Amino acid sequence: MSEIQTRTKETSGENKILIIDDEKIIRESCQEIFDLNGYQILTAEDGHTGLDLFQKERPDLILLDLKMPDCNGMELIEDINANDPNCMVIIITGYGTIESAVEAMRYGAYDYISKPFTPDELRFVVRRGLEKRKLVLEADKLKVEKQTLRENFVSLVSHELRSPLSAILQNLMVINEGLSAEISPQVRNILDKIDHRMRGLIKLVSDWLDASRMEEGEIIRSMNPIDIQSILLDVIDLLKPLARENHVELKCDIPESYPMIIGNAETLHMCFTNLIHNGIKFNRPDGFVQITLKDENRLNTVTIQDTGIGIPEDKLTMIFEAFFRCSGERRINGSGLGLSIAKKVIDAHSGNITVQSKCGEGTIFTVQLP
Amino acid sequence: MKTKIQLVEDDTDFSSAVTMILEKRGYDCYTAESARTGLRMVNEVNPDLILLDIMLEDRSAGFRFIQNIRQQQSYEANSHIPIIILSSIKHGMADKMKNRLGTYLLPVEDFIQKPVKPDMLIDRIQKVIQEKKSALEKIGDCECTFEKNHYGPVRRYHVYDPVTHIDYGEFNYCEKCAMSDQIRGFVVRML
Repeated sequence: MSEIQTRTKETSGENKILIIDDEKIIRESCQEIFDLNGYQILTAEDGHTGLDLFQKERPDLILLDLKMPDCNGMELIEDINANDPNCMVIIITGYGTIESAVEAMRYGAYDYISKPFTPDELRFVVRRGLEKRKLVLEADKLKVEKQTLRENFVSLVSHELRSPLSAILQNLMVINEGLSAEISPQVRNILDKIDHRMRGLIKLVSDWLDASRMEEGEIIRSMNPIDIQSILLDVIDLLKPLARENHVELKCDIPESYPMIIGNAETLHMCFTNLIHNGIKFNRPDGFVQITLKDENRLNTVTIQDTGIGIPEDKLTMIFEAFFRCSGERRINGSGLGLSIAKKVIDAHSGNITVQSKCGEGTIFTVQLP
Repeated sequence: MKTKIQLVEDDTDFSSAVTMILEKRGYDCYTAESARTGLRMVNEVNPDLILLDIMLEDRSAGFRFIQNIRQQQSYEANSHIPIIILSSIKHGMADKMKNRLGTYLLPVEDFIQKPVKPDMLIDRIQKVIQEKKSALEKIGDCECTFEKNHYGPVRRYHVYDPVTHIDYGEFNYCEKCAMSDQIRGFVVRML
């Protein structure tokens, strides 16, 4: 007895198999067949006991007799799947009909075996089921690892990139304020340029890290009912000083109250900041940026229209690519990541962003969110 | 006597720039390049304020330094040294840290993002040192009879025990005693 138990522990690892069948002969013969493989075998003679045992023991695989009295096999498969979608269910059909097997697989069963079956046939189908389970669990584990690695990478890079930049800028400030020696106006001029480009670099690093950190899955996982109009109003408020500096007027056509939508507040805030910021940056003096929010064809639609320099028609499809900037616009500061981040966010919300533009007249960005 | 500032920072280029800023303003500046050296230095130098880079030899070195310093001070009278954290981290984490400033999770006085404008740095340092001076003057007013060493500004609090529902009324507590009561489970409300 103890010999068998030891073998089970050594060879099976987590391989636990639950057999739910009302026929004692099936339960016993399955048990015998698998004893040699060293799996841990549990048995149940009806659906209820089976489900209880499943919830308690968490087996890797279940052999389930589809036609048991007082038990709806399909419902049982559904229950098992709802509880543990990675538990492999293999059904035993006694009627040799493919239909019930296929139906069971539609309900979530992984495979089937029809009575009568040989020990080898049974071992084969169970081994396949266990292998599949192992692969699925490994894939899940890798996904989590990848996410952790990515997060660690981003925060490490973030520190490694920002530290030297901070040291450079700090020393620049010391020189600029004449703290180490007197400096001539020409030198000050050059230093101002360096300062300006350094800040641009820091912004680029920040934006890039933002973009890297934003994984679609993460955004989708943290969605809540949010107040889109207050997000828009907050963004507009934060950008007012910049608009004033550039002599651009911010006009908003946002209803006082608007129903809540499901979304991620932080990323949508970033997304609209990028869009409206662009509208201000690429505008002309005394121009305006008009922001509207309304329900159009059951889609929450935000339009951002500017009277700016516009985008050439042949470039319209490329603007959402990371680091893309229209040639000739190098004098206007920016990392080239704003639109690609915005698109990522909108995609994660299953939304849509389109652009219309005319050079010299302006551009309209239309964001639609479900 | 010159005010002594201790800087704990592993980036020597950054620390030399900050030293220049501070010395020009008449402060005495001492730099330690790791949390370990920093701790030794505190005992030797007894600075009036510590500028601490939160990210030192590893991610938690800065936090361990803070924990260490605050624990030491529990056993020595009048030794609370104000700490200002310097860091180049941004939004998310920075906001979290700012929210925890002054609580027992992050018992430091201020948080500044690198790089810092010389004027702003000096302003913040002066403010923190001034706050400590005023706190020290009023420490005799702390009405707590349990704790021995007090630090932090003395304010009026209302103390209530949520378990026994006893209302203890109002007290003048220094920051440390208010925190101690909070950790013990009392509801300590600032008035």
